[in-house]
Amino acid sequence: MASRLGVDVGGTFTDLVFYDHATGEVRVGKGSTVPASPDVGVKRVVSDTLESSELAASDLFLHGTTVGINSIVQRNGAVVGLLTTGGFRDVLETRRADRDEFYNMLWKPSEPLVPRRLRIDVTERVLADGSVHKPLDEGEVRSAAARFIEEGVESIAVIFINAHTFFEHELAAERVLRDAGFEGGISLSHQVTGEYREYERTSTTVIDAYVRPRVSTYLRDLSTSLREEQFDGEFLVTRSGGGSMPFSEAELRPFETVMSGPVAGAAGAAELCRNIDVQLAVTADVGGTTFDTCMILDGQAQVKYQGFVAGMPLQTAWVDVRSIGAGGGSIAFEDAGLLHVGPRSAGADPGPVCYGRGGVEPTVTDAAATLGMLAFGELAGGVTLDIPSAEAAIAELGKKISLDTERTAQGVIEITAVAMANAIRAILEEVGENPAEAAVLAFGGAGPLFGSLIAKELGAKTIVVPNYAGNFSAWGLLLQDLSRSAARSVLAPLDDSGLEAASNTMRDLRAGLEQRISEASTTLASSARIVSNLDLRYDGQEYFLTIEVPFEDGRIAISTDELAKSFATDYERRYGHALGAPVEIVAVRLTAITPLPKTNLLSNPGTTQEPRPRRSIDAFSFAHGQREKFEVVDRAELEVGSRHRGPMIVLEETATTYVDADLELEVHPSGTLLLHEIGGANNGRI
Amino acid sequence: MAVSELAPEVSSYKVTTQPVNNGIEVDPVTTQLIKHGLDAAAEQMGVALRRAAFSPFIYDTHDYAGALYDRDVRLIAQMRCLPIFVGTLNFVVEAAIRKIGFENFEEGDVVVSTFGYDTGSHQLDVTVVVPTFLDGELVAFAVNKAHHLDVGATSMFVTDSTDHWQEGVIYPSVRLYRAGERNEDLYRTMLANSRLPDAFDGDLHAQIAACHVACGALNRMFRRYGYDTVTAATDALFDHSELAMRRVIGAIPDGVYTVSAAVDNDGVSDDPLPYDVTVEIHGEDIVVDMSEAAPTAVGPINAPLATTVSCVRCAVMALARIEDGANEGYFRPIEIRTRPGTIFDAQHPAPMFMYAWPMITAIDHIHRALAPAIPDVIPAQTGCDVGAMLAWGHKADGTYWGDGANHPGGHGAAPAHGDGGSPLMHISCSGTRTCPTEVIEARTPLMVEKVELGIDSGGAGKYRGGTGLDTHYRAMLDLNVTLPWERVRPKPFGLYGGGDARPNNVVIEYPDGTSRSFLKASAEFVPKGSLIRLETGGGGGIGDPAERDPEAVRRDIEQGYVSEEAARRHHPHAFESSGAE
Repeated sequence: MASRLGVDVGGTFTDLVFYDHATGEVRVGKGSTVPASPDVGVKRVVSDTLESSELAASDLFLHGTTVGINSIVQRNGAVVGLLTTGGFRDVLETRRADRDEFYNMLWKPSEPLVPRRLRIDVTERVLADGSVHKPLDEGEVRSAAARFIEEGVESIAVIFINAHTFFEHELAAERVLRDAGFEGGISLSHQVTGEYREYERTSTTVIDAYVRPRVSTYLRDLSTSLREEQFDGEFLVTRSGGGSMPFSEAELRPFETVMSGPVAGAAGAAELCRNIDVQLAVTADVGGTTFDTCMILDGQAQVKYQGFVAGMPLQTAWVDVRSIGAGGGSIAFEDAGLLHVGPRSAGADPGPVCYGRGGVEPTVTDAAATLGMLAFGELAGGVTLDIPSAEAAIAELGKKISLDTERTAQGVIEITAVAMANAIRAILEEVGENPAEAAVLAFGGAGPLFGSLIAKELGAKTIVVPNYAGNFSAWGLLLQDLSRSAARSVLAPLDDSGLEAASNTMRDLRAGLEQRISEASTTLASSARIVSNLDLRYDGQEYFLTIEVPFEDGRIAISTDELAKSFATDYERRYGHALGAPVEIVAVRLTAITPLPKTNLLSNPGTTQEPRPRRSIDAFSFAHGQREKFEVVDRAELEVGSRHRGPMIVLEETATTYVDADLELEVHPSGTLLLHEIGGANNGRI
Repeated sequence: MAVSELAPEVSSYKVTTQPVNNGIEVDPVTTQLIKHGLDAAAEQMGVALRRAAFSPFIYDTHDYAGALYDRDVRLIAQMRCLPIFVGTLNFVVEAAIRKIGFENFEEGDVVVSTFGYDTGSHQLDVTVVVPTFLDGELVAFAVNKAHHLDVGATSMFVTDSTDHWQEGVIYPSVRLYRAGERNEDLYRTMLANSRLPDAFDGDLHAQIAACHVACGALNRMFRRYGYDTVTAATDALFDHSELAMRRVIGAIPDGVYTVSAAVDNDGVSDDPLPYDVTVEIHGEDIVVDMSEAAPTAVGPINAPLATTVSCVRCAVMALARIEDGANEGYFRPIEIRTRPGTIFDAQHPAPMFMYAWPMITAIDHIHRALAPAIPDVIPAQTGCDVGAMLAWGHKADGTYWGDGANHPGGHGAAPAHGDGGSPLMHISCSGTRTCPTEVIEARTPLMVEKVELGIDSGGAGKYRGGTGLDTHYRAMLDLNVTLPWERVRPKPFGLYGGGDARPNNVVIEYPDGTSRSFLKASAEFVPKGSLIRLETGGGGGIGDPAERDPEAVRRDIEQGYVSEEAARRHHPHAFESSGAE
């Protein structure tokens, strides 16, 4: 039971990992992303990789998609109408009035997703304590509905001020809009986020309404076309906050899929860290266009409760994956005598010069090919890189900065690695973790190429290269359990009555969550486990910490003293000191996790290949600063428990691991490659 | 203008540091790697500061700055922080060297300064300087300043001080740590002089820890690449930045460009304080002359030289739209002229608590002066200053509360970018944000009645200025407000035929039906039931309103940015025959 396939759509490539439960076989596939219609690219990679009988026998299709985010970036979402409290129609446009480019006096925020004429305010007002200051004028809502219908509005976002304290007005507005004949989707702010701060809640609710039709259509088209291919299992999509949800539920809560893409790799990394006992790791996911990184602490990817997409905030659980524009396709160029790399990328089309698809600007991949880091340039499917043309492009760049080809190529790689390391450093230092103690978990097509260079920049001792490194995000998809979350602001002091209020809110929220679980159509899931959390902070501060609390017999089963103590302990661990100030309850958060059937995906794929004749290549060693003879081996030949000294280049179908001359490689029982300094132990927190 | 009563001498300020020229050649790759490393070291200081700070002014409003200087006090890297603080920190490092003596610094020293005439900020912006040593040699300084909640001024926010001592305790570059040992007597004195000692302690130690993080990062760079290589690379980076800045200035036609302006008032009297801004362009060099200015004011609206230098640098950086971290090279082509004893070069002990206000608005006038020279670059004026409101009182249960919020204004239209966008914070305060209604209402007895774009508040033109923002607060209980606003008097200017915009408007409507307009309000009593109307200025327009695309006129009416009545008045052409109807 529960053979499954994961398909992850990235900016450049669409990756597939198939797991056959009966045989334990794992198969990977990779195709180009079709930006205009990603479902076509998905279907193509599925039919290229799997027999139709295998697809028909699969039980789960797990998906990571960028459709939501793309419709925001490309501005082709729904025509949205915004209904809000009198006096607040401009909240969406005013934002928080900050400026992305600090020194740019001409900087303007992008146009709001709802134009001013479709933002209608009505008489109603609730105060911060939940009392009704002015009742809802239903006549005004009816007029708004007529206006929205006349203007061709496809979905409506309803956001009333202080709706987190009293949401009857939002529910009443929905009824009136329906009675008035509006048939499109309606997103109510208290159901979408339930958290205070009106701009952030408005932005989230509007995004939900904006991406709704496009996400729905995409998910339906994709499921229909895979059904036609005889797949009759469950369709699941990754949530921005981790875990997955059925397509049917994603159609109801589309904003939760916005960051679906990069999350799967982080989830896979967390699972891997739990299994090989790595306490602190950072991911280095290098694709064609971007470098994504996330901290994994104690086997958990770090989750935040607010994210940003295209400069707009989203109040939702958010796996804290950060991106910079650095990948294999990043273009290297000269400006005013200095060498720069990225963020512009050659992407999949035309791609790096050495792909021979018409690319003429030198990229990171071209620099790596020039230095021999990609060995002989053999790619999956019998394609071979055109290394001489890569060298020529790098040589041309070198002339502009008066450096020879070799040094120019090194420069491109070094500058890229430093930028990646700095992005990692920022994430770790925000939470007071030491980069030197972290393991670097390298995956994505070019991640294992950069792992050892990034580790050196950070002073990190261990590099981890997982199985199926080039398709690791898709692999991570296969391990996602079902997950649902809900949150609501409370804002009460941490005393007995405050805790009572939080208990009441939590009861309400649980009932809603349980309802959602019971309505879900999935047949594979077992029963859900609900994790209860409180957001707490010192009175007067803005930032909070999320603390797990026991919930028994319909109430939060911990005393205020114990809770305050546990908050102070966490605060001190995070910020180095605790304060004497009173503590405030900010919000209630619930996460329901419903496990999917287990796999043995983490077991070693085994040596599947007879050793080939030994090969080697002269490649550049950054550790020794010169060309050396690198042994070139196929990953499938490496035996579990074996140790190999660098310099070495390890090839697999969709990734290349560069093992510098000062490193040795150890094959973990799971098949994972562990790299560390020759003679050094794995002496990070591993 | 009373300039003739002033001392005649004008002083000139310019970067005087020299290249080290140690003869080492560094290739463009290594230079770039070192740049990444230096920038990251400065950023790490910001990360560490935000993480450990107590006060929301630091971790949420990001009211701080930090930078790294080499042993010659050359700015080698600055973190992303408030633009108004760009390049002020050298003054406090220089003061520390002057007062302590370069040769007297020891490894483990921590210097604290709150002296406004050294830091270029009011005392609330506590500044920490930590010297960095490499193998026993002093090689660099890490420095940061951050906004504290209380440093023992006459009140927590001072708008009516008449000398510098009333504005907070002065720590004139004192060593809180010597060779790693804390001076406990001094430490206790500092805590005793804050109304909020826990916050003071937390924020100060966050600043110190942040400096140490940066020093550590810097030392790793020195050890990895070698001190001389890093120094040679910094020379190259300064040259590179200087070149970039010179390219920008070189594109401006030579000339002397002057405009007149005025500060609304000094907070004590209602008299305006006039000044001229003269910008001279000579090839690739720029002189910003702020010397023709009103004498130092009685009230605290005076800027020390460090503030003026910083704002001019901010104005020129904005002109160049350089998003990179600042360094010494960018400042080399910039000369700043001031006259000691004026509002732009106040001398101790003149009060300076609101030091930034005149210079914030002066940034726009520096740009306006250049408008005739580079009409395709300079936008019309923004309507905003900081738009601060500080409010306090007692809640129904008798507990004391105090809170504050900033208000964004409309931005000018720009020749290359069209209409002004939605309201933003002034560029000198990029990174600060508005306070949400739902946060204000949860914390204070203020009810927000509206936050709405001001119709017709943007200047008309071929390109329309952005609208200002109308924020109305209802006092649900008796309370007090301080509103240190600027730009209530002059209308934000349009350019090249574009119209002026609505200026800031500060009004309190009382329950008895009367109302009062303010320039600046200081500790003003607001009885329960009153409405505080804060309506920020719009941005100026660009170009002749008669040239505005009729389609744009129609869209403005349809979206409600402009009333039909105002549109007909400014753009009659859009309503003729095939026009709007």
